[in-house]
Amino acid sequence: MSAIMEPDSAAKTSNAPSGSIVEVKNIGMIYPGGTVALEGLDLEFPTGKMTTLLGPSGCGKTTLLKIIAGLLEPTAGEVWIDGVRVFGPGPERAFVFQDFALLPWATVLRNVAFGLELQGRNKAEREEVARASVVKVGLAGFEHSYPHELSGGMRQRVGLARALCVDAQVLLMDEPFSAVDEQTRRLFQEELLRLLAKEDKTVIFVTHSIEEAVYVSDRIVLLSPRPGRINRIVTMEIDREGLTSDEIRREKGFLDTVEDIWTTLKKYLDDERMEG
Amino acid sequence: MTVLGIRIPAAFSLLIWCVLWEIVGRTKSVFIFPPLFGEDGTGVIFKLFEILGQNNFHEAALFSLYAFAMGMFFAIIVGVAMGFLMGRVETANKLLGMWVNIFASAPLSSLVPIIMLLFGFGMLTIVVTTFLFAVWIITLDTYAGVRHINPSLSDMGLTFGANRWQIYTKILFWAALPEILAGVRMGLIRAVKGVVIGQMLIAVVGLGAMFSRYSRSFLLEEFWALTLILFAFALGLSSLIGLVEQRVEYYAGSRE
Repeated sequence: MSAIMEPDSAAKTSNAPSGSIVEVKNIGMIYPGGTVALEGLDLEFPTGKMTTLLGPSGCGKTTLLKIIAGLLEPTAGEVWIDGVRVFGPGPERAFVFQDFALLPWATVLRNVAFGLELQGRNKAEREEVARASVVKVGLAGFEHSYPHELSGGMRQRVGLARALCVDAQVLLMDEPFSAVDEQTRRLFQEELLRLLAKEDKTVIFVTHSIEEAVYVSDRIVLLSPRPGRINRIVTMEIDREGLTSDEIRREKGFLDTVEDIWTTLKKYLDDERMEG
Repeated sequence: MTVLGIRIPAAFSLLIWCVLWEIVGRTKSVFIFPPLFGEDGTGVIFKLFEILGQNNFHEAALFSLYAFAMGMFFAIIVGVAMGFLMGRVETANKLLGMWVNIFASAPLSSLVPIIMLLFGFGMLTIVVTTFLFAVWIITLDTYAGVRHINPSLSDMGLTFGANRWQIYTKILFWAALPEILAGVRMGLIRAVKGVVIGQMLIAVVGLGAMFSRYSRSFLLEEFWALTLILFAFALGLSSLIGLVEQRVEYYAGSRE
């Protein structure tokens, strides 16, 4: 396994990956009150790859994700999906929420099928699709449970199943594992990788965990805080073949990349402490 | 309720109070409490059944029930709509919030004479009074419910393509339902007060007229009998809403 570090400029120009389903151009975001969350951000997300947005708090990673989702309107710049400029949410993107965002009054099955319900598909049809989705995320047998009867990890599986159900090409995941415990988190990361290997989705994943980013991503976009800018892009070349997850986590390439990113992030923490 | 480790049904406390009342009534120590079960067909309970059989009670009850239903119907519609408006639109909240809070705690009975001037001595005044007694608490509770909604839920609706109507009917309404029902239940109890107080102040119609007549003539047995009937009605309705509330309670506590 190895990691290739690209400087910011190279990532934008010569190394720009061809076939990017999601593109953001010159994105700027200023919150009312004057906080500059993002500034002049250009990024491309290659089709079929898992790209992580990683950075310290205040770097605008969730803001960027919500802009791509169409939930936030940027104060400057454009979002393009599959060659079309978009101005709001759309069926080619599905969102997985940090706090799951499940309907507490609806069963697992109805929650999973909710995207299809909003599209106006008939009940039998949407439940059939939802059942398959429930099985995919390993929740078979819990179709008629309610969210409050499930553990945090299981709730997030429901959130994931709901996103898979609408068959969007792009999955946007906002710190999906931050509300579940460490064991569940690791298990979930692996299952996610296994699932995505079959699904052929483009994933944009927000996390504040360096280890998680290095473990799950094909590409890591490191953002620097205040205002959020691209610090650099790390392309992971993970050869997971024949290795268990523990072996990967012990690999020199893996550990070096974690260490390297930590050194970068630590600089911002130190800066912050100096200012404070 | 448990006493000395033995589970006792809640109705038991009612029995204790009845016994206490009966003792006070039979010993004639406080004249405003006649016995519940007097000798030779007297007593509050006997009167209660007598009243239930009277024609003028039926008319009064029907009149009151109609006013109550109408007032409550509009109070729920307006209260829920206003609560949503205040919860979702900051300007509306700033404009209405103060007034709703004032009216929710104001002694509305003092307004009834003015309502009477506006709407006359009939049904309309009673309906408006009932409405005014109930609507504010429903508004406040709905507002609290709407504010309580996890913003992720509407974001979720939006990302999965919900239109505005779907966001309201498939997400926000249900998310706020536990608070709305609590508000409706409290509004209901206030509305019962509203009907009676309205009628008493007008003093020529419905149950209020009966109340005025009984208390003016010191017909205490009749007065208490009518009060008990009304209590039973309010309690019955409120526990009916309570039953519906239980059906949504399973998720009220687990919304995060």
